[in-house]
Amino acid sequence: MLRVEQLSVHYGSFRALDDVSFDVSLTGGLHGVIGPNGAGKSTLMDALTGRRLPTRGRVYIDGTDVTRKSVQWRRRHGMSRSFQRTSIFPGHTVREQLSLAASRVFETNVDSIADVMGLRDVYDVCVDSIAYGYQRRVDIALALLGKPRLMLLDEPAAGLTGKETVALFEHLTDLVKERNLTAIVVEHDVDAVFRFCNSITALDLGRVLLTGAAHEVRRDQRVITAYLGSAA
Amino acid sequence: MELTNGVVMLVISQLMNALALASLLTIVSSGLALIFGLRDVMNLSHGALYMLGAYVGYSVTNILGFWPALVIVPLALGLAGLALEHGVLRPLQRRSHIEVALITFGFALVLTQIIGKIWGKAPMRMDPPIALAGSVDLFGAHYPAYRLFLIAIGLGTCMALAAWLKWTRLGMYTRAASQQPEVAQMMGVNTDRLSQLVVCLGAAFAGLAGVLAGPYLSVDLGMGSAVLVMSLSIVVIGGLGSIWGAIGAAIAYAFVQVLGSVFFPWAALVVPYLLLIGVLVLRPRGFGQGRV
Amino acid sequence: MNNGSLATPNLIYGATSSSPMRPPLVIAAVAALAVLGLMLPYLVSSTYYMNLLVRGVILGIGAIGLGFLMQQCGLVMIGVSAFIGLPAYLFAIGLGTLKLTTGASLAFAFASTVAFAFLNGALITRAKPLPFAMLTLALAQLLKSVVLLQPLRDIAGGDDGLPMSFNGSFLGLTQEQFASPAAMWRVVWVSLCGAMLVTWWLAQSKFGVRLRAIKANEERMRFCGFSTYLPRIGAFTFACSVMSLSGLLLALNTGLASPDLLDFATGGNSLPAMLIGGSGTVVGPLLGALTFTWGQDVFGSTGDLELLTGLAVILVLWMCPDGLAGLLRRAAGILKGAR
Repeated sequence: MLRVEQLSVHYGSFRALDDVSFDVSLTGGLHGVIGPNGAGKSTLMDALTGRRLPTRGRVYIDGTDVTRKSVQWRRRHGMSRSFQRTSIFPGHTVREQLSLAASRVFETNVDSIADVMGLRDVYDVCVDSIAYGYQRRVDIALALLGKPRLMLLDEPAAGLTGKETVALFEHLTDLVKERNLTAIVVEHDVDAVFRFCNSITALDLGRVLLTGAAHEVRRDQRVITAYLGSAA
Repeated sequence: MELTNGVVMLVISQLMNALALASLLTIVSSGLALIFGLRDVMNLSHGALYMLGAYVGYSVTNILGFWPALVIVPLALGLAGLALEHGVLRPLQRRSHIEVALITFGFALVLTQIIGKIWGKAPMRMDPPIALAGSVDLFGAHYPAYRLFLIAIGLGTCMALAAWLKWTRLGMYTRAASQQPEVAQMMGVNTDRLSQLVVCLGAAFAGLAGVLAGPYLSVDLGMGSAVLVMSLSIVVIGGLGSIWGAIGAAIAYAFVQVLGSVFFPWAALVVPYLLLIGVLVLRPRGFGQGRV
Repeated sequence: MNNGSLATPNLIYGATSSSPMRPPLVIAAVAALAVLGLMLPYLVSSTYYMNLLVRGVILGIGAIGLGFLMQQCGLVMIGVSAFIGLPAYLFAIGLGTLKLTTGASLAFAFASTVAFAFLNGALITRAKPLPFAMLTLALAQLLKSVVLLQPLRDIAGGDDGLPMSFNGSFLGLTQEQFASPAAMWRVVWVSLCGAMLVTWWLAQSKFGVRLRAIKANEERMRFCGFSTYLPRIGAFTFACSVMSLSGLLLALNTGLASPDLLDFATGGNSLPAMLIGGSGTVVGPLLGALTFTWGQDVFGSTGDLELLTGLAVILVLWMCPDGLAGLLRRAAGILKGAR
């Protein structure tokens, strides 16, 4: 169980995250995080993965307080992440990227992950020359190495078309079921989130509006109000 | 009675020395801070520009006198700044910080050697102008008039710079552009033209400090390196791009140096280095992460 | 994205990703070259040119250390003179003040410098390239000022520097022999071969791959679970150790530790040598150092050397950041392609 307790990230007087609390059970599934621009979604991701130290609050995984643990510690203990802006090693082939990262998390079956993410076609191609969609998949593949229990995906569908987004989410759903992992997905495309995620946390202006099942969140008045005026 | 008098006079004269050094350092460092603020470049040739100012000042003083030199040298160095801006900084805008800095470093090497070839390698003495050659009675001690002049000029330059930054349009644009470059551009500020002006101004400041330094310190080929590290440290510790920070840090630095070298020589040397580490490593504001 | 060797990721150092161990023929050729190199004094009869070669190789060793740091970590040490002058001074102090034997003094100087490098590395390698460069600059200046402090005049020699003398022989050579190029050459050549071998091996190893990956995308490496701090300290300490070797050889050869060695402008010739030669290979910095020393010979007396050095540095950084070695490789590549 991932428990977030009163998580706050303040920059001076600016509150990127304010008193955020929610739980996500780690029994497998997709948990979506939505909110209009500036809601604090990326800051939440950063705080969960250790990229940013929260001003207040705690994060627990299965009872262990991981709030102040380093990025490396979290990775080695089953938490992985993909990035909003693709973050991979330039100048290398896909195979090399995966092999390099695999050694650290004791992943022995790099090939199967490449298969799962459909990267066989570009396995030995330099990552700088493959299409954007493939690069995003490499980013996610890197997060799949080492059998993580909790994967945090920051806008995995950024830059993809509607159709591609649906395909991606279908893929994620399969992945999550097969590998018994839980994925927290920050995403702008709310339709995809409502359609595919088991549970959702809605944020606005750094605060949690609501955490619940997709159909609840979709109909919640506060969520609808927050999105009024922004493309939903 | 005699002893305390002596101690008081020592302290006062050291304070004045610190102020004199602070004057020089504030002028040099604010120039460096200006260039960094606008062009996002750590100009490693700044020390060499200062040295060029001192040497040119030496020659112009010999031909025309000190007072004309005080006007001519900053203008000449302003031209050198123009060359720097157009020859190096503008063409290399897209390169990484370290690459441009290294190129300015190469430029410093070249400049140092050119100076050596023109003026020779021997250190040179420069006397203060007749009007300032004597000493002034200060709290019962004799203090060199030239240093008081130095302090006055330092103060005057700071105030002029402050006024310029605060009240003129260009000054406001400069402040805006060094703090929020994209915003300034959106406001319609022609950052290229502004940068040109500011780089020239920064170089002119280095030159001014150089001329002033001539009669105070000796004119030699090592002066550039010494000033470079000092002004770099000052600009960093004061907060990158912040002119006020640079001025404040320069004063503090001068005091630590002068008083430290008399009373705590080790501290005077090690503290700036540790502070530099502290600022650059523990609180890295400015380098590649947006500006102060 | 910026260009230049400061940004090239090239995880596979100098070779293609599929190249395994070097074929035995290449190993044999390199070994033969190493042995032949020892014979150089018999070929070069002029003491003057032999001396140039000795100085060039000493400079080259320093440049190799610098090049390792730049290529693997993207860090440039403008204050390289700190780690050339410091061991020289410590050696002289070991002989003079501490009255140790030659061997013990060398060990003391080397070990202390490596420890100092480690301490500093722990503090400064977290910084980005430009702040790091500035910090090394400040460090070099700091050491120079320390050495010139009045209270330390007896230990450090002040303005005049600290001469060193030892009696008897070390490694089979007396101090006079260390000053003579032909005898010194053996020591210098063996040191060069050792330094190049270790540097090359480290670069090819998993350690090198990891360093270059950190250079390419440090944050990603952290998110893959790697520590990015310790490897860089290790790289810095290693690079400074190689530079210290250069400093110690210089001290053995010249018998003097002077403040000029610590001044970043006068003592930092390894930097332009490395930049000119190119940091992409182990051989590049050596090439640069030899070119630089040759330049010292041709232009030294007129004082044009530093001028040209500055110009060469600017040119290299601007146009061909791979340096001479890079140019040669590209030329070889063109020739190969043309065939």
